Amino acid sequence: MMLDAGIILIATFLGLLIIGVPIGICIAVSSMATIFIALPPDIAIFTTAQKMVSSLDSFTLLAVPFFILSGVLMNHGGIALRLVNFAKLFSGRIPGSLAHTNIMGNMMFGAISGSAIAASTSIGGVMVPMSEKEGYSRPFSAAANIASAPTGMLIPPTTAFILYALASGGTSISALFAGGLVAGCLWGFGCMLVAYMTAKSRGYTTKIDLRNSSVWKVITDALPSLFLIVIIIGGIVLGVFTAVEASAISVIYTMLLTICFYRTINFSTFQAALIKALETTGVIMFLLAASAAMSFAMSITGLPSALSSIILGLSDNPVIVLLVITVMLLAIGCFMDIGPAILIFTPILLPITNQIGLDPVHFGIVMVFNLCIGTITPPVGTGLFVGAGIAKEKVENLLLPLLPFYIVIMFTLLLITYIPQITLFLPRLMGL
Amino acid sequence: MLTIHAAMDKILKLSCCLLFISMVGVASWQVIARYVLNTPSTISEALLRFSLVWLSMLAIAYVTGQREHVSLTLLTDKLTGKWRIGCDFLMEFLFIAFSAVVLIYGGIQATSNSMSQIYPMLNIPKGLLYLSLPVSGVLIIVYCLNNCLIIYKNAFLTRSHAL
Repeated sequence: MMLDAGIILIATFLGLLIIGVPIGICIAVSSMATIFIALPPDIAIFTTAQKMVSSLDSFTLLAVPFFILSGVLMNHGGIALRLVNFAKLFSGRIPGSLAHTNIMGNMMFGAISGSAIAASTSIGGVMVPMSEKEGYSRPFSAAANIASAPTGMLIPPTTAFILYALASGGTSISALFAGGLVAGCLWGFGCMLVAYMTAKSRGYTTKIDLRNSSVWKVITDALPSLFLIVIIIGGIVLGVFTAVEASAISVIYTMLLTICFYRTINFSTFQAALIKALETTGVIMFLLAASAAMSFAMSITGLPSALSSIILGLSDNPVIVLLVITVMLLAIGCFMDIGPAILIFTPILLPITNQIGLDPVHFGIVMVFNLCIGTITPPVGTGLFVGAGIAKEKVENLLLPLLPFYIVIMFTLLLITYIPQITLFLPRLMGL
Repeated sequence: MLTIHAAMDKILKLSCCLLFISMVGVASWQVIARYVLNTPSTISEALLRFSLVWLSMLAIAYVTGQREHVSLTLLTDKLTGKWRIGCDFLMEFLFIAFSAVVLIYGGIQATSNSMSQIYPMLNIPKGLLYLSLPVSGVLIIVYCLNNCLIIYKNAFLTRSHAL
């Protein structure tokens, strides 16, 4: 055990993080500093380089750039309005129908595009102004849009679960996807419940308005893009293809759909989408490679076992241990992006939850759910700030309307944390 | 310097896009080969992994050039003047130091050490995999020097405006 190495690791990391250094560099530099203490410089450098490459040399990891590319293509392909119209078919007569449409739109678009920000911008960008025209209060519509935006990061396909599967050393991606589907839908339904109550008390009602297009047209417009989710989940669950193959198929499918069927993507937008996907890939891969160096550095310091003995020393009651971990993850999520948080904290927390007998699939879903909440809370929730920007509202004005959503989401979190059967029944049913 | 930046952008974009698209093609081929032709392709998996390492390392360099790596900007957004410039320079310096030490120095060591090993299935030296590190390192350093120049120029320009 090397305590000084641990202190150097944490101090360097936090110091660099606070002054705004890119997180990948924070991870890499603090890990290097730690490894230098334990090993001779030549070997330390060589080992770091080797760890970085071997973390990238993984077949499972291929799913990340592929799902990103198909998401970006769908995003560029103008499916937002099609999904909005489709969602209206279901929510047309419920009180607060426009808020429900927004929430359902976010769930579908978020799943397909794999980006909460893209969902709240595209769907909310249409729905929030429309709701205001129909007499909804703008802070309320904006809150509904923001609160439901992260659902797409839980509903498959999502890169968050692939990163967790890698960081946890081979948890089944298919099982995570199936459980994430349940968790994401619960989150969405929770938001719809809040929207329903608010709308009912304020008397928001809207008639179906399909903007002069027939029901049939709306369905045929939207179904092909939603079919992507069916192909991926169905294909993986039935064992037709692996998660990696599914990601390649989804790229081919979205290319066919947006280029040939919708005809919304041409050569130059295709190029732009490729570059965008490339940039996102570069960001994630840097974090991944750097955190491989970090987990090596961690093993030198013995920090994970120290932390686990602290947490397990607090109580031997699994309920309390789980609560401590949940509070920790919520705090981490408030300051950190989902990707780096998963890569850094999975190797630390997983041994603890294993020890109290938690299923790794269950913990993965709880962890991503937890971190998702951080994306819509102050101080650095990107979803919150982007959503406020879309609605042209100040963040301060949105916190009160967001409060009931936060409460329901937190309640859902506790529910899926303490009742593993809720998220695990679907993967178990499918024999994953 | 700016023309070098633009040229590097163009070359990197082109090569990465081509690599990316071919990877999609190879991966789809693997599914087709397994199902339709009933002959599982063994080379494609190794080829894809090899390409992924190269694609990742090149993409990392490209993103560094665009200064798009994620960071916590809660505090730095409020910085102005000298402090802001200092922080910006520090970041570029850290990137340069990291590239020089780990990517280039460590990468060359890893490459030369593993030239005699064979990458499974593809029958090429494993060193070619590690070669992506120094290549990416050199690209990052050129990008960072260029970014430094831009930061310096901007700082100089804003100061003369203030006067």
